[in-house]
Amino acid sequence: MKSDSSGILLDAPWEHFNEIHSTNQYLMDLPDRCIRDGYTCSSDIQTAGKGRMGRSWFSPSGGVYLSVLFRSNTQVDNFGLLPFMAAVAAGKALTASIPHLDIRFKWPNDLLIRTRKTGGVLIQSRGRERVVIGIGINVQIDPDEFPDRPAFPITSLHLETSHPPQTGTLVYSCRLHLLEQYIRLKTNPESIRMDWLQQSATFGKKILFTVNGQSRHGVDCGINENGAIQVESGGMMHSFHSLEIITIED
Amino acid sequence: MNLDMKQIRQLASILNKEGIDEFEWKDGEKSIRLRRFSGSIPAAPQAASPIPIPAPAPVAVPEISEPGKITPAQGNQFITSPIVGTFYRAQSPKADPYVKIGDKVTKGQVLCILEAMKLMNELEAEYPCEIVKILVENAEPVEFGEPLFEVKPL
Repeated sequence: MKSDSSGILLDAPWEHFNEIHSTNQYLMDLPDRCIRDGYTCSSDIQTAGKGRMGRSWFSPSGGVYLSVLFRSNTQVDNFGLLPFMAAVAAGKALTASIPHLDIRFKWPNDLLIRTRKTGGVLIQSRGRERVVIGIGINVQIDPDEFPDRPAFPITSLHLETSHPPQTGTLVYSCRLHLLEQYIRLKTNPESIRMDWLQQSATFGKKILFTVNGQSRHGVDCGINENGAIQVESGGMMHSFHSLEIITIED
Repeated sequence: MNLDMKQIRQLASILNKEGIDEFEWKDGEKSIRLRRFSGSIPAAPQAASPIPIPAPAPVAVPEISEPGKITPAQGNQFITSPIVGTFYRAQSPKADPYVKIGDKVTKGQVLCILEAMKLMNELEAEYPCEIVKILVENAEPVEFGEPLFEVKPL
């Protein structure tokens, strides 16, 4: 953290709870007068952790639950890459803690070890000056404890490495890298896109995906400068802002 | 001859209505080409190679939305999508919609979620208004600038 601006972000408030409903929701509910770039909320447990589209995010003790607020406008350039910045930041935090871990990304920001999901990102925005990035990572929760069987197989850091990091260390590292990568996104968005592509789990591979409720096969041809995934399917090149990758086929 | 945006939209509507895929017009050095776009472009030959090269973004085409949806009723306004994404009327499939026709909403009230790249963007009302029409079905993709709601400012 060398630049002045990122230094300022490091000084932003950080509230840690033993238990909270949702770290994302806490920051989404902050009054406008309180919001500050880099405002952070973390918790040991979430009682109503949030996933995409109202899905719950199983959040017992043994995971990283961290959200950071940015006063950014999602409608300006570069912020199509915000979800990818979050993945890159989480990936850097993980490999900083576990040096030889091979973290891969499933579009746009699921965190995989080999082909198993170990974490994810939920980004919410409201108005012109509030973006909340939430990161959840499974450190040592037994996959069999999850109440719902997700579409993608899941794993934990505990299962994947003999020396998983302390949850607190990982929370700190995630925050640090999010703040750093946020500054980088503003100054060099192309480098974020290239970093993400290098760690993509599916770039250049055959995938089974669903879009608008229909399952299709295709080849992942990467992401464009706005983050839309490019998929060759049925002899056509498609550009999607929303799809779900179900399986990696090779 | 100069065409303004209104005339281009009218032209695009005619093309869409008549099922014309492409139209080109030239006048000296000036020219305009409109092409109907279904959201897909033919795959580039190199895309079939083992390591595909990222494709360029599809070429943006002037709005070719359905005719008749361009103008709100007198005194009403459209609230349009600020991004390309997917329109959701509620926070989750089981939740009540944020707004219904006839609702009077306050400035800052959330109207819908627009999702792009799994970024859940809550769209707020920028002024107090009454919801007159909801112009997009739940979970449908929307384009930049596409009208989502017809509202009567209060």
